Amino acid sequence: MSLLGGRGGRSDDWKTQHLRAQARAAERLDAPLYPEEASWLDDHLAGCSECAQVEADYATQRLELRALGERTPQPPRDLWARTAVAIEQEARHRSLGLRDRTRRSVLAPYALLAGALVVAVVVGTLTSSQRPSTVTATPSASAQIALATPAASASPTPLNVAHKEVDFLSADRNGQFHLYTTKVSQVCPKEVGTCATTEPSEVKSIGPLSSPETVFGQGDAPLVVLGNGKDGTSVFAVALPDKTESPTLTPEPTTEPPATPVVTASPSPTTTPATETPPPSSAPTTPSPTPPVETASPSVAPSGSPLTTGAIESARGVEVVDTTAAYAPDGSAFAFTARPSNGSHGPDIYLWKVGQAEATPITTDHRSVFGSWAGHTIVGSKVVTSGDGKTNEPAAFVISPDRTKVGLPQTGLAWRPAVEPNEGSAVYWSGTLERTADGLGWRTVAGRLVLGRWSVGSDTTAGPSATPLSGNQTMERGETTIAEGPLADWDARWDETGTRLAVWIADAADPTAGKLSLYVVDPFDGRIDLTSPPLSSEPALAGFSISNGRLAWAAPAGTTDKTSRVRILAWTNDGFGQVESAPGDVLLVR
Amino acid sequence: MVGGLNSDLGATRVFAGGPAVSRAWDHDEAGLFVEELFAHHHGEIYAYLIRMLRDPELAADLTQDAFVKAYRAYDSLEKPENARAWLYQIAHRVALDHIRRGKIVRFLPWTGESRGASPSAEHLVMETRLSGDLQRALERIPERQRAALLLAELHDLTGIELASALGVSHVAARALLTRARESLRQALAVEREAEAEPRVTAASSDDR
Repeated sequence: MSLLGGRGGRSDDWKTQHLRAQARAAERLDAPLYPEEASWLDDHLAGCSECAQVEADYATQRLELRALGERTPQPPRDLWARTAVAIEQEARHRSLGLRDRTRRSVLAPYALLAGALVVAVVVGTLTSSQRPSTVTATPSASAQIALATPAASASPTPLNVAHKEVDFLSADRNGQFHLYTTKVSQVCPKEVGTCATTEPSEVKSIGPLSSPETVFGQGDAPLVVLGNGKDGTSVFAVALPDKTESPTLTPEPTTEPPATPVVTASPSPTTTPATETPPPSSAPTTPSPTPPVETASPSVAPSGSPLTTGAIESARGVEVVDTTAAYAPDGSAFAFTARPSNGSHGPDIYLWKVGQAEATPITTDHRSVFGSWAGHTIVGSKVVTSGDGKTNEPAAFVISPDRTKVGLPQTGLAWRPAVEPNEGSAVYWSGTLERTADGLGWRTVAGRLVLGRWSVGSDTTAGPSATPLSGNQTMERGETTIAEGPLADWDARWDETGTRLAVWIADAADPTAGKLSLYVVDPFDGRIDLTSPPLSSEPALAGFSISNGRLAWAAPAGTTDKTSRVRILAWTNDGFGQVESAPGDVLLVR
Repeated sequence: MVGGLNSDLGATRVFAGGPAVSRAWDHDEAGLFVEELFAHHHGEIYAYLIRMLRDPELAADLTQDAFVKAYRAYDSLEKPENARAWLYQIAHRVALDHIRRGKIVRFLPWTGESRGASPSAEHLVMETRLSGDLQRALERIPERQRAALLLAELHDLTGIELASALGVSHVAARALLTRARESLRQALAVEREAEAEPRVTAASSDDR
């Protein structure tokens, strides 16, 4: 350890002794001073309140700086893949310039995998008033989506973005659903309008499905489809998306393929094979249609029997509650909120583990709802009724998928918290609740949808215990109001980095449609600016997807269009751009 | 010349038994070296760049650049135990290069409203965000001072590492850090004074 206060800082070098003291006070934070200099400093500070204040300021400044370090930004998941590709390109450049190389690059596998690190995408639901089963076929006949709108006559300058993928389903005349994957490598500045078109690179048939309402995907995990079953109740079904796993699911070749879903993008798509995203190397995990095992839940009658070709029914006799549901970050399980369709009791959190035949409830109090995943644990919330029964307030909790660990993250009001990936903040309802008219659910009353600091706080292995709030919740959590209540519904989702937050707020009159906003989150303090978000209150149907540098959603039918559109907003450090599909009836995968 | 990384890097697999003598630049060895380096340090390099630049996408791009440069300059690392500081030095230069370029040619990306006339939406968000006065104060001080503070306080670089990362002598690094603390103190005072002014004004109005 070096000592400071010697060379270059002799006592007679300073214009004033105060400057000397302040410099020494700063230096002492980093290394001990020479004893005589330290002694001099202490004596000076004892008699100089101004210099003592400066020293205190330095100490406070250090604490504040280090507090910034408590929030560690998470790099993008594909950073190594991108870097490996760049290094490989550098290696090729060098090898051409320096020598002939015959050995295979050690980085080649990473380069090949670079594009494969794709996060499954996108949005869900159909037009607000038109479900697939009821929508009149578009004039494009078998086309799932009509052809693209004409490219703008202007010569646009598209914005290059890293490959973004968007998955969506669309039904043909026979009720067969096809899964499309659209890759976007360029987006258009807003004022340019549409640029051109690109076709989806993969098409997989997943068989007829019964009135799907929304679809969830996660990497290679099976698609989770929420829809209506034969008995009129909502079901939880799993599609098998990989045609290689099930030859019967391969779409019939047609001499005249249906009008291909098109997403407007670059004026001259120039994707080369070298930069194409290869398909995932690992085969998807498929659920096994084995006989159902017994479940502790009397409200769910699981069935392993095939619902449709390529899908198994994982839960029946339940109604899915609200729009919040999600795959675990690793794609191993899917959590959602449901209650018995026979109205026997209120909601619980259900979990379906990939590969299992059934979804099972992991709460049993019939007043719990899913909020989000926080790593491998589930953050939920339940309703606590006051002793006199007059107020119902939410309380958040953390539960592990196997129900062995339960803890309260903190006291205070927090309903349906959507915790960001770094678990430093969350979006939640801060307010009171009341029972819905049927007495089975809960709706918001007085309060706000807020972004606030979040702390797991308690040891989830030690049973319920909470990190108490010592003061005003709004102040203590630094809450920023996103929307004033009451709210019919909402959905808040973070990207993988925790620096982009998308919030969808349902319209009061029609909760299947609403407004979508995208906020940039300050990586330092976790706060958002509400005054100039990149996307502000854009009309959107329920269900959207945010990941991998892009936000995708379904725009509702307009006054002229009778069908919805897929819209994608992508961003780089160069700015924002968007692409839009032609109108069609699509069911986006989120 | 690289003969092996320190144990912290866990790179014995790569360089076990590697002689600490000069050798020709080798693609495979450099690739493995950077791979190990990335595995252990990409998170903190990304964090450093995001703290310097306050732009996640840009930080990711520059992190990538830093590791490509590390690959390119792999044979310039003389002591394996200095790998971390050496990497910070590269990242620091990448960041400063970007900042300097930005001062010469200001990039005006799409804003969603008037192309070519406004800063990017991202930039607007960053500029107008209700961020803390500390962040704003950090942005006010010179980049090299900001880097010194971040590296010392948030990235726990030792004095020698700090000097290496900043590309200056140990004494110069300490002096820079001292100046940075004073600059930040003054910048914070300005920020907090500016923040307090509207409140004072409002309070005065209320008093009337």
